[in-house]
Amino acid sequence: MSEQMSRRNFLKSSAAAAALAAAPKMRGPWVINRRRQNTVVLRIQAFAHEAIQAVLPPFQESTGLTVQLDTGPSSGVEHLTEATTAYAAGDSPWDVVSDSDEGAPVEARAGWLEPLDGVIPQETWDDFPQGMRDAFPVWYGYDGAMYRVPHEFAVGYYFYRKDLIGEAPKTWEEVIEKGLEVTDSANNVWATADGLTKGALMFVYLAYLTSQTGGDIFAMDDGLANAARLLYEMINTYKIMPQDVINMNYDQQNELYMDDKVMFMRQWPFFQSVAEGNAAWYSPDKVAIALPPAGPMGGGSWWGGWGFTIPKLAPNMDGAKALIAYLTSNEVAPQLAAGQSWFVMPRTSILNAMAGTGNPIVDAMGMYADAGVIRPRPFHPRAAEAQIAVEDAISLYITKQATLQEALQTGKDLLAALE
Amino acid sequence: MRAFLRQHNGRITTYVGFIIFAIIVLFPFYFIVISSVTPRYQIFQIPPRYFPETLTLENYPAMMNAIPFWQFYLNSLIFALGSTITSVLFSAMAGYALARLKFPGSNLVFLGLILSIALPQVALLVPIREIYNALHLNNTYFGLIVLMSSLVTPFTVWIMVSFVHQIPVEIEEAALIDGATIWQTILRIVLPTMRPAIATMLIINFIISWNELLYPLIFATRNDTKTLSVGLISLGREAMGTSRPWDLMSAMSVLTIVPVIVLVIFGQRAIVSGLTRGAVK
Amino acid sequence: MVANVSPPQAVTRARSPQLTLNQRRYLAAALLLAPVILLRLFTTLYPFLQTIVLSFHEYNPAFTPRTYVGLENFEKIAADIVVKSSIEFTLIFVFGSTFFQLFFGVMVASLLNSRLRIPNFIRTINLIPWAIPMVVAAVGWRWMFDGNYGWIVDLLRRIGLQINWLTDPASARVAILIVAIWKSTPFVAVSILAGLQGVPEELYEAAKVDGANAWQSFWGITLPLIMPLMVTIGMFMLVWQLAVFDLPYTMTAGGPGFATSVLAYQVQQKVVTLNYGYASAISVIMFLIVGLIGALGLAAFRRVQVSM
Repeated sequence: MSEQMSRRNFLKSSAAAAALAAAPKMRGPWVINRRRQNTVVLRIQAFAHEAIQAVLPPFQESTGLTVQLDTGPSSGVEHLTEATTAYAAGDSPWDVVSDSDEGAPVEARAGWLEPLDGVIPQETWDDFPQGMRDAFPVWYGYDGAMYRVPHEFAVGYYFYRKDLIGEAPKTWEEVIEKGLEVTDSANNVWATADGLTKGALMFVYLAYLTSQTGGDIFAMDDGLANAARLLYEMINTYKIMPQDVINMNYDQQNELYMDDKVMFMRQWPFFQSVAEGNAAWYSPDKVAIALPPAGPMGGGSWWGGWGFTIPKLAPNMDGAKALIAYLTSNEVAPQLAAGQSWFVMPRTSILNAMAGTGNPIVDAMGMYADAGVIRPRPFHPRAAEAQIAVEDAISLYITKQATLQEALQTGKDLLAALE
Repeated sequence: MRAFLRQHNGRITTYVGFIIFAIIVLFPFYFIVISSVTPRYQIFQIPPRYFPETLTLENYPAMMNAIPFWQFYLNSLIFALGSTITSVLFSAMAGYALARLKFPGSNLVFLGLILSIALPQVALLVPIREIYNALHLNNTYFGLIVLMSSLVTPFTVWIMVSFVHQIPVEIEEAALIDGATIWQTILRIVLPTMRPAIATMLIINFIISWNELLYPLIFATRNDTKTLSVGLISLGREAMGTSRPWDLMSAMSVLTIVPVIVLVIFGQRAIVSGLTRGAVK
Repeated sequence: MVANVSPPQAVTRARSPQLTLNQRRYLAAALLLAPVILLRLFTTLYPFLQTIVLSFHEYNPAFTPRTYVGLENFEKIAADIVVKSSIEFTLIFVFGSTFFQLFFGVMVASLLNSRLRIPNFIRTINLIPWAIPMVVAAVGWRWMFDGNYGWIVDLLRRIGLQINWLTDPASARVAILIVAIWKSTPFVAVSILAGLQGVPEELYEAAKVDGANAWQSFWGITLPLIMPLMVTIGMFMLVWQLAVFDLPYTMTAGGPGFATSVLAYQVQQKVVTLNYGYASAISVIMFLIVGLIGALGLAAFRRVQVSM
């Protein structure tokens, strides 16, 4: 009897607890999008919160607004999924959003973003170098209006072990030649590696190689064919790249490199701080940066990055406009860059502020810019889906399930279906 | 020795079978638990270690720093308890009606319910998403509980019907003849006798809801409604490009499975009776 | 009982004296069934019909307003190598894992049905794989299969086998099947066990007298008797596993390439990229496969019953 009682009590109390806890969360349409007069919600990756917090006090004092930070994902595709779910449902919990290359073009076309032309002053736009501004119409705007302001400039850099191999291979031929020399697969030592796991990482690398061939990756042209062939040969023919790169992510790639198992590799600039963080291992010679190896059309590496957007449905539109103008201003952008290297861009204000600090990434950015190897990210309005199509098709060839010609044809079909 | 073997042959085979079976079933759990108490730098070693040199609990607080773990836990509890109670209550009502209150078309209703189990959950997502967008039910406990309780309802009704069929109908008839209303009969006579079936289905539906991924993944995109399953995915995805958080994910996995393991240990008999009733009947 | 009638009920009866017992019974049934029926109409029947309607539309809330396109989505599927490969692996996955789950399920059930005293903890651990979230199982196994640090890879390497579980398309498919079998065999075993326990002991005794060994009595007595049950469970597992999306989603994201992608995963991917029309068309393919499984099941039932 006591057992039955206790069971009944358990059920009763748990039901009551569930009902109580659920009550305040069961919001109906009437609570959503309630105007918030005094707060602005900024959605951005967790690792940037500290740098953002540091620049907020003057803004909050002068406007009387409170800025709340919400954590967004670090994957651009993930961001697209979460944002479109909210926007398609006619709902935006955020006022300003750190928005990805995968997300912003789709959102702008769907009419879910607020145009920023009048919101951002001309001097801010003028602060960006011409090379970046060339990409604005496709990646940051749509139909003549601007919808996103970049706050990141990510280029794949070519890191190499100056201490072990002296000089990095300068051409694709040298990559193979030198690669065969230095690879010792029995001891898990490889010439090169990259994180190529599904969900855009293989695309990143293929687009990098394709930028060295002068090809157009979304046209599935000969340039991509050359790039795919090189990747295939590095993995399967010459075996200078471990086979499980296709399941590796950047962490595994970096770890292999810092375990002295990889001699040269392409990687995003965040690797510089990862390497410096590994103090017991780090020395500048171990992470030297060279120009990308030249393919048929010379060296090349593409840039992309995150930028701020305002959703059309932002609960506090005025606050959002004030905040986005503030964060991207010529005064605040250098402060953000000083606080977190993710915010480093070749903007005049930032370069002036960082001149002579000996920051390896700033130096490398200059070297790449001078050599003219920086290319814009290959554009597709539905980048997330198009990238998957490229990966799906080319991985058929890399994993020996199809010939290169078949894989390219498959890719063409998949991309055509997106039109 | 040979005589011993001959005499105990069957027994030895059986026990060897048990041991192999137990190893296969438990090996992944050993891996998950051990990983969760291994320092990060030792998890990623070649060759791997089957028992860590040093044990540590640091992965647990580290995981709780990386994501709002207790918020997810609370969300999972509300989601699972809400769906469980709703589905069992509604199914018990429906089960009684279908088993006892025969009406024209009652067999058709029952058949329809059972056949609807066959429709894949994911294949109905698009219209549900449209409805949920229109009604602003995304990221609400209410919306999630509606979907989840509906998902487990047909099976629960099935179990309830087969259980009610086993209860002798005479007591209810006697009560009705004595002048009790249908409602009185249900409350005072039927409900108490259905208690074992209700308890069983509470346990089973709780486990199924606790484990659910698809609905929370699609309809709970914010931390204030994400459940543990989705949280585990986010923890992995969040760091997909730049790290392999197996140390954190294993710690989260261990804490995620604690409630269901406890339920299995204490409710084993009830679960088995519930799972098999559907199949055998 | 009569003395206990409380005022509200008395009122109810007073208000409806004209209702016959049957009418009252129908009213009660309607009220009791209403919540379940409403839930299922709202989350299943309407979505089911609406999915079929949408499958003939081009519809992406970000790009294209809803427009009727006839069979265009299905023509697209016929040309879509990823979806076609997903159909192929869906069938392999569903039928392959169900077969092995039944096979091992019978073995485990016979083990649990042994006349020896079975330690209670064996019965308990049997349920654990079924009871844990698929997400946890998939993540755990994914790391056990890891090419560098995975225990399985290391153990196999020690006996001289080198398998690239998650990078080789065929091996990745096997890996997914292994996890599905590991996860659901216990459920199947428990269901079969109930059938085994229903086989009358006398039949075995009689067979023993006739000189049959354990294998012969299993083949001759047990299997035919539990066959209808096996068909039922098999049907259930086929249909249930068609909907399995969390396993490939969590373990491989359908990779390498799209080797381990199943239809359920494809639908989810199209839904999150807002390709609602196309997602609906793939869903309709899933409905057709359900129909196919149902037809197979009915045929199997007929055969089992004829042979009995």
